[in-house]
Amino acid sequence: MTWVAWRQQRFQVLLSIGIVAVLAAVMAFVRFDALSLGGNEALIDERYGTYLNYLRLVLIALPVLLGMFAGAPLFAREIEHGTHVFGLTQSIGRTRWWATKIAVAGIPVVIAMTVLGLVNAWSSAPLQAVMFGGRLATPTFEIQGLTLGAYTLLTFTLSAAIGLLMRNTLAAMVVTVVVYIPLLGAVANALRPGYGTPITSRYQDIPRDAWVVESSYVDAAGNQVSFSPAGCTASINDCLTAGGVVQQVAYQPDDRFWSFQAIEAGLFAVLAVALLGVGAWALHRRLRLA
Amino acid sequence: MIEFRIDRRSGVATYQQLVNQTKHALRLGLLQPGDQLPTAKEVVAATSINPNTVLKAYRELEREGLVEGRRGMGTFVSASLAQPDPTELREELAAWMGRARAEGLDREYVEALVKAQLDEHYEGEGR
Amino acid sequence: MTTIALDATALTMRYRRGWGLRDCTFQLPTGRISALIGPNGAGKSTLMRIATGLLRPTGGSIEVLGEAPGKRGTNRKLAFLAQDKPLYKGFTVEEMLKAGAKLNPDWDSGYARRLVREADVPFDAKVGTLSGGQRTRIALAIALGRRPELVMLDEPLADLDPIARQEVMQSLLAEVAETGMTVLLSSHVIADLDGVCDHLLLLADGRVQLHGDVDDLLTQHRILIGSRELVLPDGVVEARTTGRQATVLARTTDVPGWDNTEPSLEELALAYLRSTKKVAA
Repeated sequence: MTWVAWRQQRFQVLLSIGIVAVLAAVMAFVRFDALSLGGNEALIDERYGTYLNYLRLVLIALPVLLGMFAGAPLFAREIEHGTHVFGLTQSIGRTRWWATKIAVAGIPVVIAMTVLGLVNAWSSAPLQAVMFGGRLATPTFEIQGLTLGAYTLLTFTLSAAIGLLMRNTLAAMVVTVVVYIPLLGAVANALRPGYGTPITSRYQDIPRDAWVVESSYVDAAGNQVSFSPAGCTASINDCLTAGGVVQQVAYQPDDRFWSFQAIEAGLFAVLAVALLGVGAWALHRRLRLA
Repeated sequence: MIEFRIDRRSGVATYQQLVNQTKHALRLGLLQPGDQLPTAKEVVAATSINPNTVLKAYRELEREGLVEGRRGMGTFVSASLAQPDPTELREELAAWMGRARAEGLDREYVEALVKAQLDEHYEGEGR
Repeated sequence: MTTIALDATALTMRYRRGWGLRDCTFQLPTGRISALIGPNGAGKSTLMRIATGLLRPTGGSIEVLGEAPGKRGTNRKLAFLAQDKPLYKGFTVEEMLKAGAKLNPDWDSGYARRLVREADVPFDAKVGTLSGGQRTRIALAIALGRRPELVMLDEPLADLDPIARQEVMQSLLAEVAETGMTVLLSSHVIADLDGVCDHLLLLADGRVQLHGDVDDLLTQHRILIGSRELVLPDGVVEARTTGRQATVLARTTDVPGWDNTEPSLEELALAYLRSTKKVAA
């Protein structure tokens, strides 16, 4: 079955790996070129500002694109063409047919995307100074480290399961996008700030590249007060000092980057396993083959 | 070697058609003792009939002692149906036909007469 | 070795809307070519898909050569050719054969290749470019490459031109003659099966309407033609009258007073199908 699945998926798999390889090569070049600029932030920004903008766009879109194009047609197209009847009337079990197709189509793409995330983390290190908001903030967090692979794993298993349930490639793609984008937003805004207990400090004292997750105004006694900079006639700082108000922030320091990456990747991996379970259930209980 | 032709609209059972055609060939001397009949595979590949039908026909011929199956080799003709030329009978029939014609009987009527006699004298021996 | 190829007991398949099969009990003998006849939607495909394990029945049971369809793929002694002859379009014939070999441990490569050569299809042709007849021959070669004892073909001749129909049928029958395998062949065109099949399973409306050895069934039925005044015998399947004449198909031996003839397979099947339609209407 492995050969059959590979023969069916090889174009898809090789194309995905090709795209990833090209991107990785560009990233490697960028790292060495940026290092040669000797930490001159203005030069780096001038040369790589646009590159970073495009890179963010490409890398935000890539997990859902590659995952979806590998996963949605995996079963849906077979069902559309009736070829699942061929695969399932040979001498191999239904589970093996399903698992082999999942493995052959999914594993190479997920591994390639994980590698790409790691390459990007390595390549982006010299550019970090000119990025806005540190490595933990959106969208930087989403495009380097382990998350790229984890997101791809999720979109792949999601679209494969939906394809099996809905028996329609296009519908599986649409549902994948409709589910994935809000999910990503919800995780970034609601869950990620809580991956570790934030550190509280005065606004002035936060370290470079920290990710501010909460901000409030407190008086000398530490009670929260409402403060509106709109009423100030002088500078905001003068206003604050005059009122005895301090801006207090809760932040996640940059050195939690890798543990947060691991937590988020783990979260998506758990979701992906649940989706595989849905797929297996659909395979045995719902797959009407008439 | 004999080649079978199946007429699905004749109303005659397919296996009977095979038996009849084999016998016909035996009578005309087209098949002689020692000749091989086509294998079931050859017959069905040419005629699109059920292989079991061919086997049934061959069993029938075997039962009548006309052919014999040799394991792994095929089915071979073992007897002849060629009959001695019945000169006298033929001449009597020819004379009878001449009289019928002279008496003004038309062709259809003569055919019906002959068929009725055939049915009576060869009852149950097929068509 | 079992002598029953398919053994169904109260086999029932209920779909969300309506019935696929209702309480079907029958046995198909081995070594025969059985016809599965019925109008579209009668349950022919459902029956075959249950036997392969693609579908699980909602009631009753079926055994294929003595084994219930399991989870480990289709019974190794059973090959199935679906109506649309599913093959991977992007594969070449050679690759399709390789897929057959990879998916079946008992694969007979020499045999499958011989069947492809006999079909005169080039090994490097893409499956998607083949004609309907060639595609059917390749699908048949791959089905038979498993060396099945029972092969089930769902409407194998539908949408083939007359020459392709003949070629497909002849190559199938030649292999049956050589291997002695059991065949179940479905069609809604009865003329395709006349002379080919020696066993009949007639489905209509999800139910078994008629079932048995074709020769036996034909000798057990008569077409009776006579005056409409005559008393009808027992076992009437269908009776039609035109003017003073009545034409009756009945399960009976010769009935005195009527003109008795044995029906053809097509006449027999159509009479049963028409009669169930009238009951349902």
